[in-house]
Amino acid sequence: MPLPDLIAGTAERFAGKTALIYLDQSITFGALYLQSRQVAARLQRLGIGPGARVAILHENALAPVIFFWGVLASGAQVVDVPCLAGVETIDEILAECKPAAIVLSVHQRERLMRTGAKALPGVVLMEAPSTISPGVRSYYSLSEIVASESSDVTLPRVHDSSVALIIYTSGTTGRPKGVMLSHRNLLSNIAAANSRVGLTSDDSILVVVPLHFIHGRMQLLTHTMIGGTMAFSEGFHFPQQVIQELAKYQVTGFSGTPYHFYTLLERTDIASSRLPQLRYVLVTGGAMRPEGLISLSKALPGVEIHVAYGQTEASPRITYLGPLEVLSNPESSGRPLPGVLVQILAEDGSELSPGTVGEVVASGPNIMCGYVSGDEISSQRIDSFGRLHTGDIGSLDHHGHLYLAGRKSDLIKSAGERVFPREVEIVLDMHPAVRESAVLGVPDRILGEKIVACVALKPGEEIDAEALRTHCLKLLPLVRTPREIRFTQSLPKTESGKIDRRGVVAHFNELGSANAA
Amino acid sequence: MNISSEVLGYIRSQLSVDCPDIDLDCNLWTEGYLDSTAILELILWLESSYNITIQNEELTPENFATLRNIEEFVQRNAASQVGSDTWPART
Repeated sequence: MPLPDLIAGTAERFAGKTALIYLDQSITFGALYLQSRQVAARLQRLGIGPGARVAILHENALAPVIFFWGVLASGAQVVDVPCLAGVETIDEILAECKPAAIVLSVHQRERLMRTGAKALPGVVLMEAPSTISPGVRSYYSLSEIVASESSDVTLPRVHDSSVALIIYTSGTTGRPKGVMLSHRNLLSNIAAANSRVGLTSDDSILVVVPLHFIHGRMQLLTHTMIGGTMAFSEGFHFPQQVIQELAKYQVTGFSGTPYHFYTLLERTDIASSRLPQLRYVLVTGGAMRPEGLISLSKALPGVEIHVAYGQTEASPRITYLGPLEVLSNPESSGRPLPGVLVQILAEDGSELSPGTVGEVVASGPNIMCGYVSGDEISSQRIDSFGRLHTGDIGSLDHHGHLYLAGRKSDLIKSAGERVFPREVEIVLDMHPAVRESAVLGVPDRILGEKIVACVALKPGEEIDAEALRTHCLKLLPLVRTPREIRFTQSLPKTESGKIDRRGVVAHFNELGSANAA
Repeated sequence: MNISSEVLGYIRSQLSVDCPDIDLDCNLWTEGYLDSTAILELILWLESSYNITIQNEELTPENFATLRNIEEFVQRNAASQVGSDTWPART
């Protein structure tokens, strides 16, 4: 079943029910379905359909969701572009995936025009009519499409093995990776996840994460499947406002990363807030420490706590831990979702027995089709059996519970964002005063891991940490920029001359706060 | 230099260099200039730079959405700390 069948089925059952709320705007499932078909009709008229790609670069709002369903209804693939990515990164993404059109917010359009983005496609879709000269591009607005297109059109029906969604995420080499997920990948995962959390049409959710993350898309898809209402938060900038939004929209659910929950615990009066309608919270996008889960359960008595582990390449959920086990077994990341197989492999590829630590490998209908760059096998992320090598280290117990113990790769998880050191080091090394750099994640109470850097300057060069951070911000969003930079004469090396990352951790600590930014 | 200029200077050098000449009443957050993790860094900087204390319940859009909101909040807080010889910390 292709994904557009989800919205079609839900629109039939819940036509007059509110699907989405953002500020003072809302839209029903019926209107969302009809408008998405009108968007698909326009795309079809423009020659955009199966095999084509349409990028979305838009902050959370109603319009990008209508466009999302419209693109899928046309048979084309959605490419989610991270809103906070630098223009160079956006150019790289667009150059690689070559979308036929792009959906832009007013802010993103202004930003791309101001900074001279090079790889924009010829067709631009926006919520409202553009007031500027179109130049070489064709602009289409949602308001004009809804006013002029018919929803009564014949649209192509794609096979459920075809790619539905491409999500760009951090890559080990410093270049973003486009993860291709099929209709089948996503449907298998949302059906399995919904069955575990027990979502029904009575459920609703407050969304604080951007839709361009798989975490955000998952919330959209799971709630579309069950006919549940989604309310978009104004953002996570003001934590107490999020508590007020939970009460205002009377949502039954909230899904966040450990960063979100630690911030709510430390920066709001969540424990004394009245949220009688809140049924469950879902912790995903990183492991929350057992004491954090206990604090959360004390702050929200009677609210179910669910935990999920996964990654974008697995659409994204791999394991799940339910509320009956979260407090009795808080060290675990849960058991595999229905249809998903988790194995622990040794270095030689042999399967390890319960209790033995090795690489976590997952297989099932949720595992990605591949990367847009086509290197999923050469990069050893997908093996010859079609299994996903997660890069995480862990073990299974005799009951099938997964326990994560570390990472095989240098991945840093900061504020729920996946960051590979190389992408930050490339930016640091671009500064003319820098000879070499090493980026690492150090434990942080709120962020999970804090991105920090050890930097060695060229002889005779001088720059302070503040200025080097400003340099990084020209190419990286804040969440990927080192929060602390310490200077050293030279970085620890292995015998082969590579940076010794374990040694860098100890070296960073030795350098101490006297050297800190 | 006034407070809003200092705050904008800090934002441009340490939180988001892609921050053009923005209006005093432009919403820094909903317009997409700053990500959610910036608020924690911004309040730490405001506390140390202006010798003020920001309580959890004061972390609201009314106090921090725009440069004008931030300036007024800092002035109100500084005024409530009359007698402090450390404010303004930045000149």
